[in-house]
Amino acid sequence: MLHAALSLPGAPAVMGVVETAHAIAAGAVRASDVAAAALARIDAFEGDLHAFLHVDRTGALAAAERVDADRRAGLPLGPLAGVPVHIKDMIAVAGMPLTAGSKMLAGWTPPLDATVVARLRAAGAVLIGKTNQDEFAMGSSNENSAFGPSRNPWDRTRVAGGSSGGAAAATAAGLGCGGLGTDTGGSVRQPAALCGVVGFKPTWGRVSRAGVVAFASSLDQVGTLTRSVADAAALYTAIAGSDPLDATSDPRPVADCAADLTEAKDLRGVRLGVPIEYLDAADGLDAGVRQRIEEALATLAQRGADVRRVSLPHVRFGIAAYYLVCTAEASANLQRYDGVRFGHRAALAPGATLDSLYATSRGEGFGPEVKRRILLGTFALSAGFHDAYYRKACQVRRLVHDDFARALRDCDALVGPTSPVCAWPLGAHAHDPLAMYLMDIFTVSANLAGLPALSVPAAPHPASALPVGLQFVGRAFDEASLLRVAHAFEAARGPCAWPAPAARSE
Amino acid sequence: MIPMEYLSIDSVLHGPFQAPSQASTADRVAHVARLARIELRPEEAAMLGHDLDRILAYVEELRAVDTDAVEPMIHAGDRGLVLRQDVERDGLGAAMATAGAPATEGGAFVVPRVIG
Amino acid sequence: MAWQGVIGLEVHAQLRTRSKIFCACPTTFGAAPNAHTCPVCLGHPGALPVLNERAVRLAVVAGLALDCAIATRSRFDRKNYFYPDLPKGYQITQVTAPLCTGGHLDVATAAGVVRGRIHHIHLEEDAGKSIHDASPAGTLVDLNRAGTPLIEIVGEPDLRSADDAVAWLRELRAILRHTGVCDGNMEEGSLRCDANVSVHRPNAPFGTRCEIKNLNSFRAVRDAIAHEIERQQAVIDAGGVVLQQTRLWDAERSRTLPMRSKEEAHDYRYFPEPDLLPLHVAPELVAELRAALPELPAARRARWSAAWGVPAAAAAVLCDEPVRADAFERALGAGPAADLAAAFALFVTGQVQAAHQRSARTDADVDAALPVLLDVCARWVQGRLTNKMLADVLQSAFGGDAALGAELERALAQVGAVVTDAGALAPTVDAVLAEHADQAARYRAGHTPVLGFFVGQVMRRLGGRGDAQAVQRLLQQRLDQ
Ligand SMILES: [Mg+2]
Ligand SMILES: [Zn+2]
Repeated sequence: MLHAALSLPGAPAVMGVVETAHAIAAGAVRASDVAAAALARIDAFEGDLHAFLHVDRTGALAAAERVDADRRAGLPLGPLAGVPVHIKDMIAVAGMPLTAGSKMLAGWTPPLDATVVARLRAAGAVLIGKTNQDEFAMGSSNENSAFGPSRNPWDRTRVAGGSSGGAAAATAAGLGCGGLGTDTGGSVRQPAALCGVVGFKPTWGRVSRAGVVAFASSLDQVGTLTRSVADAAALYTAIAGSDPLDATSDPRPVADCAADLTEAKDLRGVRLGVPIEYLDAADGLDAGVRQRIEEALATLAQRGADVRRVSLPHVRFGIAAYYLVCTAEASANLQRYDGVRFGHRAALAPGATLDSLYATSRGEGFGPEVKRRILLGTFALSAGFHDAYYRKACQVRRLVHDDFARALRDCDALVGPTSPVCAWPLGAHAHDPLAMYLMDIFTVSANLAGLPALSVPAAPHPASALPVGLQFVGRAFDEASLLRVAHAFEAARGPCAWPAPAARSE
Repeated sequence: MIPMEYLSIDSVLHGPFQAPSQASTADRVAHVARLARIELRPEEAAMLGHDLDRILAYVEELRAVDTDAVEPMIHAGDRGLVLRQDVERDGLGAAMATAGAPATEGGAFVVPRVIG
Repeated sequence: MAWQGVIGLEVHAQLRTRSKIFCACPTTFGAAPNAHTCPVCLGHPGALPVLNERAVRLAVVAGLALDCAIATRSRFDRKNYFYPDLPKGYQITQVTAPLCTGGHLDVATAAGVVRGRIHHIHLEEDAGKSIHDASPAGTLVDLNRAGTPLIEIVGEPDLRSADDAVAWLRELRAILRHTGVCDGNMEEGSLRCDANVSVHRPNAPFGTRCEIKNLNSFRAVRDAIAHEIERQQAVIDAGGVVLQQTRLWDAERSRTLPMRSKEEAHDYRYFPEPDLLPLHVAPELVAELRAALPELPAARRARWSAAWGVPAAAAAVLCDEPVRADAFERALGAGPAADLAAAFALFVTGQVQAAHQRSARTDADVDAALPVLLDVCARWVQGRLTNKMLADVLQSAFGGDAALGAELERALAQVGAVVTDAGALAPTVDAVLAEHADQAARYRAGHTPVLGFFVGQVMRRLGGRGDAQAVQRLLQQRLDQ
């Protein structure tokens, strides 16, 4: 049992979001004990995992005590009352430092909560800290964090994935019940796959981006990292919905997905499309991962799903289009880091010019991957190249979008691998940016098309026993159906017998 | 029919690509670094120039896509902008606005003197 | 053949909203540095723009008033450059798909009606303010103005002289004020003008243009354009070539100067703003705003002329400022006073304006006093106030401390009535004639212009309150006896 494997000697067993909320509401456990246990697990594992950039011990315990006091006073409790959650460092929490994994923002504390954070607080969640990430969410391994990488709980010599690697590692190791990440090209789903947890990216526009550091605005979306689909639904339900502070947030009402998942339904009548480009024709796909995905497809079929092959002819161009669009937007989004109003400013000799202040501050503050992407995006937008690179990529983006729209007319969801490989050793691709970009091959298209997508653990890799992620992509704004399908798969899969976190490196 | 090798990571990483000349690489990096106001150490410029060449060679594959009549896609969906009412509210105030700033004077941000 | 100027104006007008274009911070002018800022207009990480609905409505109104087509779908773009008063490192503006396109503005000039076409009008955010000379520490940056809503009205190069340009800009300002789009205050920067200037010989292609930045008064517009045309002519006459440049107007030394040239050409790397979806403007809204469009200044002036015979120059001055024009019409009302409209218009733009300029009174104070001023004007026109009495009333009232209307009432009471009654005038007339018997003799000898001397003497003794015609009549009567 996954949860049993996560229990720490002397500490309460780690429970999920839903389970914890129920236990606290029922008075079976006190919120302050849950918070203390989460903090104790952080103490025990954090040295190995480096999942956090900031832990708010005092704030977490105080918030938990307020929940206990409210309960004693008979006040109504929020749906997440007392549930300890962590927040990726891209997301503003008033009073907690925010770095976005960058030296550029070291020492900066945002004045206001992000909307998603305010909503978690309103639901009663206990915020335990900020999780590690690739700098400005640019990376697929967490090795681009200016503060050192998170490590994979299943094998500490391996990457946790990225960019929400800290959140995935923390969730897998039971450091809190789950948390929020951001997903621009797979940054929630891929680390979730590599760490063996559920990573859920809702439709672009479904969750407010207000207070979330922008990487690529038209692709960024806040998502959840949890140990179950039901937990994902619970966090998602708390944060989703339109926000007057984000003009791209969608006014459509949000269905209460959490209530929908109380029992696993079978998949009779559900049509699932398997993109041939993601499986049969994907020769970069690890053989063991392919095997587990094919087994998962068989499981889905056994549950009654109509599993069929579909084709997305333009997804082969997804990576190229994605890396031009995201870097172009990032080059503009990151211009605000100029050493004037907040963040790092270079120490310069008196008489230094404004331009040297900009260039030196930015040269010192940004790490190599951020510079690489800013330069690429600047180039893609620059005079003489804009049409051939940026505009062309936006046109291809539409073709990718239309491929998905066509496939999702005949299918309720698409299914395939999340990552072509399992967690790789730290450093394996650190000096090869293009190799790292190609790891996002299965995830970026959902961002280009703006669709909801979710990674759920399949059976572990047959050779390495490392986690393998199965990805579902759904119709725009139909998160409810996507969660139902993933939940049914999760139930059919049964518990995963995985080694305890951090066991491998001992 | 889709060619089978298109997702081959190996072929992309180690296959042939058009390496632009060193001079144009250096010029290109210097130009975009200047536009982006990022100072690069020489070895950093060389590394990033090399990376940029490879990435740009890779994205050349987009040229193969016929996009003649394709409207560029900027956002997912086709809904219009939601507007806010013209209601004023107090902001942060000068003290909070400048709290994280590296240099301030009298509630203003300070930068090296700009002429004109 | 002579050289001719070719001028197109680009006008930035601050929209009359309460809050900024993308955040709720107030747009009030003159607050302490950075007092009116929030994460959005400071460009904090994670802050997102949310468009102000009123800014859109006002921009549509401007477009309708200038006969533009209103785009039902427009879009925002990012214009990228680094400058300390541009917090995000990009300005949100509209480049490829502006809200209003086409349109024109006709102005009457001495040479006839000049049509200045409008290329487009777009919405954008203002930058903050860099203060260069206030501190030894360096340039100070105040972001209160950052995010103020602007429209940029881009005129075609249809104007041919500095005077045309001023007339066009003045009419544009009157329209923006009449429609409530912009307060038109050039000193506070609510209305700012850049001029694209070139010269050519008629029927030849346009020459190379220079853009002159930051013309913050009508005088600056006129002088800068006139000097720039002269400069370009001189360059060409001397065998030189006009370089495409951005130049600044140096008002103190009456010349334009090139801005410090950057080592790189500007590359703004425009691309669509991903944080804002396309702006959809419903045809119903456009129709609603079109129906609600107020009478524009040109129509108002024509109506005043047709109905009341108000002279064009006075009407133009009054219609520069719709609040003044409204107060003028309210004061006249629908009653018999309308007969006085032309005289009242001349009175307000003449004596009243002169007195106002010498005083410290506000426009609002004067506007509120227009009904009383109409009474003053009527008395004066009907001869119930002499010129001297009128001057005294205005001087006393404008110099008083209370509201102008009250001060005028007081001054009218104090100055009393004009003396017309022959019986009342007779002692003074007789005394003057007795004192100047020699002059009376000259008159009787046929030197009639002496009559003016006697009128002056009598009026002086009456403190200016005598009815000049009655005095003259009585004097003639006595002298002819
Ligand atoms: Mg402009
Ligand atoms: Zn603001």
